[in-house]
Amino acid sequence: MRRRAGARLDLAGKAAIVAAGSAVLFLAFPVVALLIQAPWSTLIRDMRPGWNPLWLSVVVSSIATVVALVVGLPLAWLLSRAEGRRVQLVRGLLLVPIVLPPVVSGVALTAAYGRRGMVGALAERVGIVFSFTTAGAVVAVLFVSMPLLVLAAEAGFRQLEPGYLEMGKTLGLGPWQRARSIVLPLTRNSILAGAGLAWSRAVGEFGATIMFAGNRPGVTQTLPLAVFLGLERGIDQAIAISLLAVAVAVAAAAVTRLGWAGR
Amino acid sequence: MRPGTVVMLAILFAGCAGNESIVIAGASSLVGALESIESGAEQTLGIEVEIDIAGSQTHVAAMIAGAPIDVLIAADRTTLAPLETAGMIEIEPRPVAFNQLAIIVQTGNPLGIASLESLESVERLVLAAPEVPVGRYTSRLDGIERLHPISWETSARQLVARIANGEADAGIAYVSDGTVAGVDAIPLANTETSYWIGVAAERSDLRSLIGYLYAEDGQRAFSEAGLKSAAS
Repeated sequence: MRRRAGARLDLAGKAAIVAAGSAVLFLAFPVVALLIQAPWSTLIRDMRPGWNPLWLSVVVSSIATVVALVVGLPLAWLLSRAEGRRVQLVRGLLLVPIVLPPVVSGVALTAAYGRRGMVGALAERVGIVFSFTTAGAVVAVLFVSMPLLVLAAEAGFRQLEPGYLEMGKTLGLGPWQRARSIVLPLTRNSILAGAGLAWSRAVGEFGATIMFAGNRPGVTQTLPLAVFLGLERGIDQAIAISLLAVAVAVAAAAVTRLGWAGR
Repeated sequence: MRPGTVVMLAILFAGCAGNESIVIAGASSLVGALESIESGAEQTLGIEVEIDIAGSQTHVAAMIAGAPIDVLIAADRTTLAPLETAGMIEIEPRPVAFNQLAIIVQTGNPLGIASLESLESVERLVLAAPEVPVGRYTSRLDGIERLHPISWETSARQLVARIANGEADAGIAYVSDGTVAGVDAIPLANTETSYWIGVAAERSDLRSLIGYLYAEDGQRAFSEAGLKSAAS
């Protein structure tokens, strides 16, 4: 924080600094505590059960993020161009998976795409099963993470100057060419930030995954599920696997932050 | 901070610290029994009882971290071991109720499952993870290595829910889980399991609560929930 030379902080300023400091401490301390409590001498051994789940988490979250980009970006684009009550409604609906308790999302997904669910029963007839499969794990994290990508991308699309698109039209570019050579390059950072957020959210998902996709090593047992089971084996293993999650989160946050800063 | 704020915070924290009630934590398979014990003990003994239901191991981790749990009823003896090592158990643990393993199937047993061997051909089979008590019991069954579950559940009740909602066709949990809507339980012979009581504090009101658990009313709560009482 930089302030003008000679200016004295008034009471409100001091209060703000105390509040801000407490907020930072509150947010940073649990991660620091995790590092302090970590079983450093046996870390590598304790971490071992986390490697496969980590890999599965990366795969599942990456697939979900790609799917979210394919269907979410067009949605974000339409939302950014349209006005009116129905658009507001869609925007409101997008918030539902974000605010819903993840376990509830898992129950809802089971009702829809489970074996006895409306869509799930039809899908099973053509040989697609979501429950207890990696496809199900992708569906679970897609549900909770796609809204973040859509909201971030929409914000980026809204900032786009309409003049650029007009210019593209004048130059005779078709809609696909305009999207590829004007919209995407100019809003790249927002999309990157949204994808980073969505991916990180997907990596961290526990409730929806365990409720909908179950816990199957190598198939649906993602990193948070491994942490939970690690807890049943002993706190050291849970913390060791948690540190893997922290490392992934820090990396994802860096990518997201990069997108944000460049916006 | 203004003096008013300080006073408010002080009241807030004082409110949290004031803990007159007894907290009983229990395994997920005990949910029905503990609910009737909660209301029964409050009426009979005139003490405030709170119940906390989660996986036994979750409770153990919480207690070691300082959670205010006075009594833990764990689904097996092994679960209490870390608490004993930490010197947090005041009274020698002993069983308070019994259960039995059972094959859980959908109501009416549509697949006609009769034995552990018939589970070998069940495609959508769920078992409990060996890290949790019901899974530890299950892992000791003869021939268990020939079963191939599609999911390792983290509690007895979650496993049962999988079968009740049709996601899985069969699994192994407790006889008492047969009371859940949508499933039937087929008892497995010679698989008695026991609930062990760990008392983490030395107080007179806790002694009377433990007495209540072993007396007629408490034991009836267990048997009404499908468990077997310690007396019989």
